[in-house]
Amino acid sequence: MQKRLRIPRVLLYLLLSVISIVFLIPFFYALYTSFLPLQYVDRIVSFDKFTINNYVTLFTKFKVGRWYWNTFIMTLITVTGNVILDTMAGYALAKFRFRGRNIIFIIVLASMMVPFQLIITPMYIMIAKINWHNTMMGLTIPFLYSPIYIFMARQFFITIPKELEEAATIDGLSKAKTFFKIILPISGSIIASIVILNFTTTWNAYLVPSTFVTDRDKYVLVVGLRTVNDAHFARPNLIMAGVILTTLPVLLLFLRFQKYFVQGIATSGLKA
Amino acid sequence: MGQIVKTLTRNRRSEEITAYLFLLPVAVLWFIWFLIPTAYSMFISLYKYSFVAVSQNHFVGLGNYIRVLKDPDFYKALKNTLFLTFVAVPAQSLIAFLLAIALNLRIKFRDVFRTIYYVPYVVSTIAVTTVFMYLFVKGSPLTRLFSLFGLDNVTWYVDFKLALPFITIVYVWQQIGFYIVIFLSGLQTVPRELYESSEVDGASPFQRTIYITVPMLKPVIFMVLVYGMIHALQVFDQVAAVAQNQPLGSPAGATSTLVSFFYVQSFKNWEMGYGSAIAVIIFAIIFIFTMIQKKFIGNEE
Repeated sequence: MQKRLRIPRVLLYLLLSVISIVFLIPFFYALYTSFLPLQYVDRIVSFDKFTINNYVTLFTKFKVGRWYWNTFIMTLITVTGNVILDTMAGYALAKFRFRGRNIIFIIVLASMMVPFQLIITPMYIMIAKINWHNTMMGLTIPFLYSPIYIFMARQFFITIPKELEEAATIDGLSKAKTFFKIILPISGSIIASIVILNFTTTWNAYLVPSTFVTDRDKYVLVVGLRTVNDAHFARPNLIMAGVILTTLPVLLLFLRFQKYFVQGIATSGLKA
Repeated sequence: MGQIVKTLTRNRRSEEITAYLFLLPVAVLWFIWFLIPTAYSMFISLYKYSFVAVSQNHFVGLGNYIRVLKDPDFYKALKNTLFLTFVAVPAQSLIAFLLAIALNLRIKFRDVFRTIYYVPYVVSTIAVTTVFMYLFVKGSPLTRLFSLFGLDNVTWYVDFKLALPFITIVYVWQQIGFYIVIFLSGLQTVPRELYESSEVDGASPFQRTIYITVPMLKPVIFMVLVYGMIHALQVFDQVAAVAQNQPLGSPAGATSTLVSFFYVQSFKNWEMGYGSAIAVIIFAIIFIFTMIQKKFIGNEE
């Protein structure tokens, strides 16, 4: 029995490793190329030929520092808004008794089904009318909440035993204070899931930032990277440095908080 | 007694008020940035509505919808999108399913493999597509490898025949990790005892997969297929990346998708009435897929 299984095991590891290479090669290609001078691109060279000039060029000749800042601010505002507003709404739907609760919950579910294409055209007209194009307001305010995270938060809060809230009420805490002082501090896992999912979505967003922002100074990284790619495709080393700069923050965050990322996808994906 | 009832009513009132206050910020944002735009989109889909020539806007009834159904560019986009959907969805679902089953076995370095498979999903699609564009240029190791199988040794994303397969490859490569997560969490709901008793009965791993795992995971499999379709029907970022300075859908419309076709009408030609009609039609297509999902999963329960 043992013997029969041993050979397929080896094959299994071999297969999983080959597939790993398929997934990793684009990352290594990007990282390696980003450190090469142009004349060594697509050649295997030793480490002493490596240079950080491509990164320096991006920060000095292009506005990558600026774009980094814009992306960071956009992501910070959006994620902060989502964490506070979505958990509050999710908690109300999970724990409070009030008229209209079921209808509001159905509205949340229905809103998740509407594709963004249906919204973006009028949204653009509205943004343009109030002069929010090329501003941080236009990139963040409409996206401070998200039905999917409200839904996730509700599913999470429903599992919290009501004894906890009852004890708080007996201690004289109001419902609102109970949420902020008792419930939120023990809700780290749902907050982490919302943070990491919303961070990656916002950081990587392309459709909205490329439509609402036309001023080069106001670009976010992904949009800036695309314009550099369009104009300098013959310089793979420069473009790959841009790719690394764009993806690195998300990669680091993912590797650190992978658990919550997986939890978030599993709960939102399975039920949605 | 009366005192207690009074306190209870007061508590009930204050609970209701707190609930509405908790929902208020989201409700305001939702009303302004969801409900109004959605309704407005339906409304202007009935108008000739140009963003640049506002004075000539007028009511056209179902004119935009009829125009969509007569537009050869729409059918080209629909054809490309359906090609991508019906290649990518089975491919990513099957690969993710097999990898999830492999990862669910008691193997060493499981977490390392898992992390590697998830990573592509979290990074920017524009960045990923950019890297793949270089990996698939004429004469690169990968294009030469594929040319051994009879494909042309050309730069894929500018080739009329290979641009759409190129986007499909990038798409599948990036999506697999997401569906592995879904399958793995589904697999965790399959009771171990089922496997153990089948092992006693002498079932092979292959038989176990077919006769136990697949039936148990039926709802998850449907979910993955239908969610995958909904998502694949809305591909856009990859198209934007490969277009570079050319019009969206380049080369020559070979990568035009439903959403990129919508985008060109609304935001390049500024024909927002026409664009909105296309968006409504995309919504209708997605809605049909969602209803199919509801029906299947409803039957399961």
